[in-house]
Amino acid sequence: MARIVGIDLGTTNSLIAYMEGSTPRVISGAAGGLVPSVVSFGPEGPVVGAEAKSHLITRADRTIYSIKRFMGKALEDVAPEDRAFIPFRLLEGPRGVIQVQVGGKLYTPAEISAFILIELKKRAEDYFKEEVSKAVITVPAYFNDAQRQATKDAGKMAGLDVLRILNEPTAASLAYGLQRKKEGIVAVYDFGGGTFDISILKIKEGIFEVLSTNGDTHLGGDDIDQRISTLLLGEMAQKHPIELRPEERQRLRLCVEQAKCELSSVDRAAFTLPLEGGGSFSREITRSELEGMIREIVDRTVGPCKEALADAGLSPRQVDEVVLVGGSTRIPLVRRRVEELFGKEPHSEMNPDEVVALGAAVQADILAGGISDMLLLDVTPLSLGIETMGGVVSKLIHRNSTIPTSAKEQFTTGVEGQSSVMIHVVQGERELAKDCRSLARFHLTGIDPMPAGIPKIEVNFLIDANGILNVSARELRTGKVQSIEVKPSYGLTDSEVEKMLEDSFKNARADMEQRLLIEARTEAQSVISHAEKIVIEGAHLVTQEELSEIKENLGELKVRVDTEDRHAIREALERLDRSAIGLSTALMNQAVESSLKRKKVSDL
Amino acid sequence: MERRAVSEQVCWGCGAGTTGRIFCEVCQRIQPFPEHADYFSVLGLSRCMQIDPGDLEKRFHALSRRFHPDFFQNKSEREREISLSNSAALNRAYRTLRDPASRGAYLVSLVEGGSGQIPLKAPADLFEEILELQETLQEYRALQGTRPEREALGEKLVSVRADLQHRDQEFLQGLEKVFSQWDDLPEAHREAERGLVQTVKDLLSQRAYIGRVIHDIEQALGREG
Repeated sequence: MARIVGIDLGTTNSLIAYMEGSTPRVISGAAGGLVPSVVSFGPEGPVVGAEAKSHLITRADRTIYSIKRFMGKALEDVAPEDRAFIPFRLLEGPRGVIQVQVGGKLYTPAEISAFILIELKKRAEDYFKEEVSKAVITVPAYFNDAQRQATKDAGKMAGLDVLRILNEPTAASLAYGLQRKKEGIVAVYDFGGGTFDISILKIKEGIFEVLSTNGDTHLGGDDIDQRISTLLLGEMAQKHPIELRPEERQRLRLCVEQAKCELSSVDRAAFTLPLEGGGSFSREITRSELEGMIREIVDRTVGPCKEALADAGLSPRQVDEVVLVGGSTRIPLVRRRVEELFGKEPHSEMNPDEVVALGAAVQADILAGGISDMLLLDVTPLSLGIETMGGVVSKLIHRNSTIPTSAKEQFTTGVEGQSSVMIHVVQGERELAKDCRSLARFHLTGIDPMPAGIPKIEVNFLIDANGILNVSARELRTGKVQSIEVKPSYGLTDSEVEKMLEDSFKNARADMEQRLLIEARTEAQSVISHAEKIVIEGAHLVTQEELSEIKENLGELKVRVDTEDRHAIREALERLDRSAIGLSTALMNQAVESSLKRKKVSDL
Repeated sequence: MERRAVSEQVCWGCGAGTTGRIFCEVCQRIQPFPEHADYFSVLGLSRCMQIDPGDLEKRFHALSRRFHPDFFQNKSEREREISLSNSAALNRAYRTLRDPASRGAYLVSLVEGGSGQIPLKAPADLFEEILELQETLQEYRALQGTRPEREALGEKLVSVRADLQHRDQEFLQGLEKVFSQWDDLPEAHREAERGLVQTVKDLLSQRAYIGRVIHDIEQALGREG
């Protein structure tokens, strides 16, 4: 089986890991294992990671961060106060899907994520010196179907075969489980950059059975930063009337983030925001002040924890261990809150930034047939239902059902000769379809004309091990497989993903051309400077004819080096190289001779 | 534990007789469950309503290790499909049989056909009490802040909830009793079967009603955390 890597595609940072023997490891680049989940579009094309992060302020409108928050969402899902904080432009694409506008180009969140995945893939390929094409990618446990599908699409666009979409808290439990080999009830509290998850598991004889999961896919470090930013902006506005430009807003966010991180280890931090026109806004922030600002956000994690415990039928005291995952769990207030809630000190031995990627590598190894004694049985976080008469939801699969799981439902026609039936599938806990998340509309087509109520079409709704819905249907009397046309409510149809895939290949070719051109130019520059040197130093060593040929070729290359035609550059480069061989050799011999002479002198 | 009725008596892969095993003895390929296999047979159990949770969990874990799609990643598409549908059937079977109430509802649907939907029904002896409770709930919701009369109502709600939770436990015990009577029934005793299923249905209807009332109380009390 080919190598399978584990990827944590995070809101703030992403990582790629693999299994070395029986130990999961993060693949590091020059600056460590974390790749900032930032994509910046410059004149040289898109850049990802630390380099992109350095453009957050200088290219605020072309530098995309926290894209995970928009995966599988419609523009109307983004709160106005969030949009006010984003320095790049969001537009509405087909079926309400969010698109990011960069210059004249539009990108879906899945496409932006694909750039990050390509960077991670490249990192792994550089490390292994071979192609990497199979991966396990993690998502928040509370991600709905559309968000999972968007993540899978991103993988596909990045040239990855996504073998599993894995929930982040359960991934973390696998990494802990591999290391500690303990049994019992474990609660994984995963508070990251953009999302919050709580999962309760029972670990017994290598089986990691998720009992319940809950969370909020819009609750994380970004919300904390935003809250502090808003409060500080209010303060600033009292002193100077200001209207922040995108890059200043971005600078404010980064300053706030830095102060927040510092206050996890020290009691006071200096906060300075340089302002347009030379001035600046400075103030000191104490930890207790910070805690006052963010308490309400931290408290929002408590409700999901209580619901998860109730769904698992457990009291907080029955939880044997609490494990902390995600960067936001470094905040002392968060740790205290968790300890209060569960009545025990939480575990944080493993690096909260890395543990999810490590767990993904463990799951990848299980899929590759490596580890065979561990098995993860996860659940679906949200109930799945269909819209019935009057917009009421009929639930087919309840939340916290172990996946894979399936439900069958029979449908028939309402009028004579009706040839198609529409089924509206929703996800969520509310009673009315309009209050739930619309997943898709399935059109059962090609029904043979019959009196009303006679056709019996059985539809099978199957949620696979990725937590993604698959639907199939057949006519019961004939046993004929019924064709289904799927219209996803948010997200992309298969053909749209194919189209983007095609475009990305085209772009990949263009990217490759660009790189070859740059390489040819660089090489030409070095040959030019070398030739310029030797025609002066060695003018007396070759014939006048030879020298003028070299000079002519040199002149030609200098003209061509600025063109876009890499073949022409190469050609001139080779001609110059060839014509200068004589001169180069003569110079070399002279140098060797003189060094030999020197040697002789010193020998004497 | 491997003997089970599979849908075809011959292996789909090599044509060998399967004699009801989940894996073909000749080619080792996974076999699908029969289309209408009941949840008991999926877990290798006879149709007994009294179930030991520890034994059930052991079966569930052991079968998960055999069916889970994780272990079929390198297999043919057909084997992956069967692993997926068998796992889905196993997971549903386990969830349904693990909880006595859903196990009871499942029995009702097996015997009577239909969806196994249990209607809500107020227990006759609690009728007065529940009417009074509805009034208390309304009053409690209408009052704001921390006034003493509201606190008094809150305490009353907490005590009613405790009574109802006790009642809920009694229903579960009643259910277990019916389950044991079911298991003791002689083979094909239709009349008695129908009687017991009716009792299960009544118990579940009343329990579902009480569950809803408890939920309402918790919603009202839970609003201030």
